Amino acid sequence: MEEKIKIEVKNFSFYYAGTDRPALKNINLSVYQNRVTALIGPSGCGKTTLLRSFNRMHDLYHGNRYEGEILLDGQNILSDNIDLIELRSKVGMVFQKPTPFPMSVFDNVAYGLKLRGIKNRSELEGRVEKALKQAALWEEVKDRLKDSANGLSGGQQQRLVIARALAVEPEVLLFDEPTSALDPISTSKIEELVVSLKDTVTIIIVTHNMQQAARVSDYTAFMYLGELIEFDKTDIIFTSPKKKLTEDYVSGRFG
Amino acid sequence: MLLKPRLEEIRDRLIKMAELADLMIENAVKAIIEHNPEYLKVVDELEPQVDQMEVENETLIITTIARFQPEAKYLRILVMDLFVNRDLERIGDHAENIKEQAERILTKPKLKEYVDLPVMTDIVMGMVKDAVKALETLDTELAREVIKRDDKVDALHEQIIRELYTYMVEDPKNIKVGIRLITVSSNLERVADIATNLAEEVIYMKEGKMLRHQNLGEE
Repeated sequence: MEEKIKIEVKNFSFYYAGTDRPALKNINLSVYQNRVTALIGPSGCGKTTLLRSFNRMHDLYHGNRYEGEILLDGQNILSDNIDLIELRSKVGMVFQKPTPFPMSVFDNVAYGLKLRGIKNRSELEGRVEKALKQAALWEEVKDRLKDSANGLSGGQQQRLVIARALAVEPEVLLFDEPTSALDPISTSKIEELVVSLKDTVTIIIVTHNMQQAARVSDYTAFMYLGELIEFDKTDIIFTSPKKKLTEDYVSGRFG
Repeated sequence: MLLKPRLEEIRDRLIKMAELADLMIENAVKAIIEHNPEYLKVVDELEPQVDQMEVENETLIITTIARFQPEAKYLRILVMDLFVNRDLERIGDHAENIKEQAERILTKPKLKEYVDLPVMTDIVMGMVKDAVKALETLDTELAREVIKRDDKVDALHEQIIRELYTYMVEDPKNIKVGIRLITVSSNLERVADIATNLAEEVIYMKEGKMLRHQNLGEE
């Protein structure tokens, strides 16, 4: 099957403020459209740093520096004239801990839509329902849309946050350890959700849980000390990786 | 659960492969019984397909084990799927062996009307089909029933050898075809053994009981 490249990382390096030592060294990577790509590697390997580069989260702190290119549909998102608000609505993010806003379930999901100027009540309702359905949460919350989001369980909150990200119809979703704060049943629901979402979006997931990467992803990138060691189909990375370092890591010999 | 659709995919593929291996045996034997080489074409056509499926299935099963690290029931199913996959490919190999004998048998006139061979083939094919049916639903009752039928096949195999002896003793000209027919019968007997293995594998999947090398009576 011919894969279409959604994001292309080219000779990309990243420096945190106040240091000349790159946290990411000359990364080259293709992220395929409508596929799940997992970034794995031991703590400090740079996987989260790379993930946060895809929607320029590092810009929130002064002095961080990017080098090279990250092309989203051919357009370099690192260039100065990129509208970050627009970029982040195209490239959504879900964090480790659920981050619902202190407002109702409905308003959480409608938040991004309202920011975009959508005021029509029936349109808002339609899109909130659609996003909650996509996030496999609708059945559980349809009778309590006006209740505070804080009353939901951790797993429900995480799906709510995913619904909020989906409502603005992103093209790419970034997941940063999305289940590390959740119990096994909620984890398995989120994993199923991730796999089902790839029909509509391109997904990049960072996880320190290697088995999770193995279960949900189509492609896996193994990173070590700021470098991309190996990138291949997940089937290959977990059965017959080409590099010894990858083999050692996935067979649990370090990290 | 993300593993379930994978397990279903593997099972569907194995069942499809079993159907092809069945067809190979059926046609290889039919060519002999009806003294018509036309049926052998089917065997030639299917053999590479079954071989390719074996390799694809094996890769799929191994990657599934690697990616889902299954435990208990799911581990048993996936490991047995590997055995089932290999067993089915071997049924295809036996069909190929029978086909090679058939090609030579069919160059000579029919030695006799076949009586036991069609009966034996029916039983063997029934065993394979029921073993696969048992696999579909993890029906261990049916699997145990399949295992019991193996003795009948062994007896028929002995019967066929005894009868062909008499033809060969009577006229040494019959030896060439006689030996080849015995080889066909041996291959069918092996297919019955494989069906027995398949049934044992189904029982292990469902119950975790290893039945290999022991009689059901000892259970």
